[in-house]
Amino acid sequence: MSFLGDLTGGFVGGVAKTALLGYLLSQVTKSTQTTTTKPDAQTRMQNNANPENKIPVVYGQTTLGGIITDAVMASDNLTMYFCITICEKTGKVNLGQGADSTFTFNSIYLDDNKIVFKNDGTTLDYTVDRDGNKDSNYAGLVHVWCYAGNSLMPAMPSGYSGLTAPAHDIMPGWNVNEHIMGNLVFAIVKIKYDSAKSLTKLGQFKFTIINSMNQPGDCLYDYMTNTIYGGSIPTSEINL
Amino acid sequence: MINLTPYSSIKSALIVRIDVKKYKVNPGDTASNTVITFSDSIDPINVTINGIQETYYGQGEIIDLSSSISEIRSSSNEVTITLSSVLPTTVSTILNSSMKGSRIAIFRVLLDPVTNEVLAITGNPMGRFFGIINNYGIDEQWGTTQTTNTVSIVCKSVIDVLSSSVKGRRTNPYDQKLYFPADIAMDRVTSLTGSNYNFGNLP
Repeated sequence: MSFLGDLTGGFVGGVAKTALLGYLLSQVTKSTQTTTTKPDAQTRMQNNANPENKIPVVYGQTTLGGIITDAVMASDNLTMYFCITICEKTGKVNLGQGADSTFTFNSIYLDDNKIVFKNDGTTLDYTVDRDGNKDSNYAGLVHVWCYAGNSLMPAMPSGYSGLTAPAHDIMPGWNVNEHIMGNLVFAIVKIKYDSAKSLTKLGQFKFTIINSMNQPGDCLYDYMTNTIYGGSIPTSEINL
Repeated sequence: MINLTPYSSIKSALIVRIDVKKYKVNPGDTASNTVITFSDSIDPINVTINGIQETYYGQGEIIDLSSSISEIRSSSNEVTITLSSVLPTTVSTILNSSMKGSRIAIFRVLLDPVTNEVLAITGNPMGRFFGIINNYGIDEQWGTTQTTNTVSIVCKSVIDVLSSSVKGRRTNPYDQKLYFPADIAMDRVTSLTGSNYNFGNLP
């Protein structure tokens, strides 16, 4: 049964619904005001592995780091693989009635320099800094594989086409049944050690993500109803 | 606003609907999803909400509901339901079931005083309180000839629950398995925290 819905014409029910929407909108407004005055660095910067890190939710377009959730070093000690979890995969557009929201990796940055990939869409060719200067120092030493939903949903960055492998075929030790990364947008990064080129650590990765869910009503509805990161309000209690 | 002009007399009652997700009569029973319905009327009332007709069993004077406030502005609210003269078996059921966290809805329903039928008016029954059971208490008064049990159910409004809830998935195996039980992709996060790799040092 609906606790808030189906009281059409009921004065108290109408007040309850209005009050609930008012409360949610006030929370969104408060969140926006907080962001304006003090950016939340925790969700924008790449974070090291920590079990208390929270996975952010992205609506529309934003640039953010990720959270390292797995790391594996090859036996030669010269190659490392990282799993960087970026954000939650959101629900369906059109107030839950349309298609699944889709995520696009618009740009990927390494230490504030935009990565330009080779034609395969995963191997770094060169980087471009804010002044437009190209740098091929890391060419062929860094690989990035993108995933938009789970391990079986590889995604090419914008401007590239083709097919890439599922995550369990890239990340050493992963398998198809147990490394699902359910409802997550993430990237697998491979780094080859090269001290001569100062490539001795992961560096700061940032991802410009575009979520097809960008309409205010869709976002609010998704946030109100989602059971993982949202309010878990039953859809039957929301009058559309 | 409900128009009562055509009626020379009416009576009203409060009806309570509790959706218990883990209802158990005995400790060893399998938990089931059960809806408990009752009212402060003497007689049972048949009410249709959302197209589903349910009987709200009359508890009469043994039930007492604290007052609640309806406001245009969203605010937290709390209602306490007190049931007195409760049978020991009912107390046992309350203790065996997971009452805390159950959804509760309270409506005021307008009735025909003669037939006890729900008046066919748009907006009837009227929602009075929607929330979640936050706590309950059982008060036992032992006597030489009889024992009296009083059950108090404390309910928080949906607004209160929303404002105090913390949601989101953390990058740890517990949270990941909560939603994807077979997924071990986050299992190594804890061991990775603060760990170092001999990256570049030849084995």
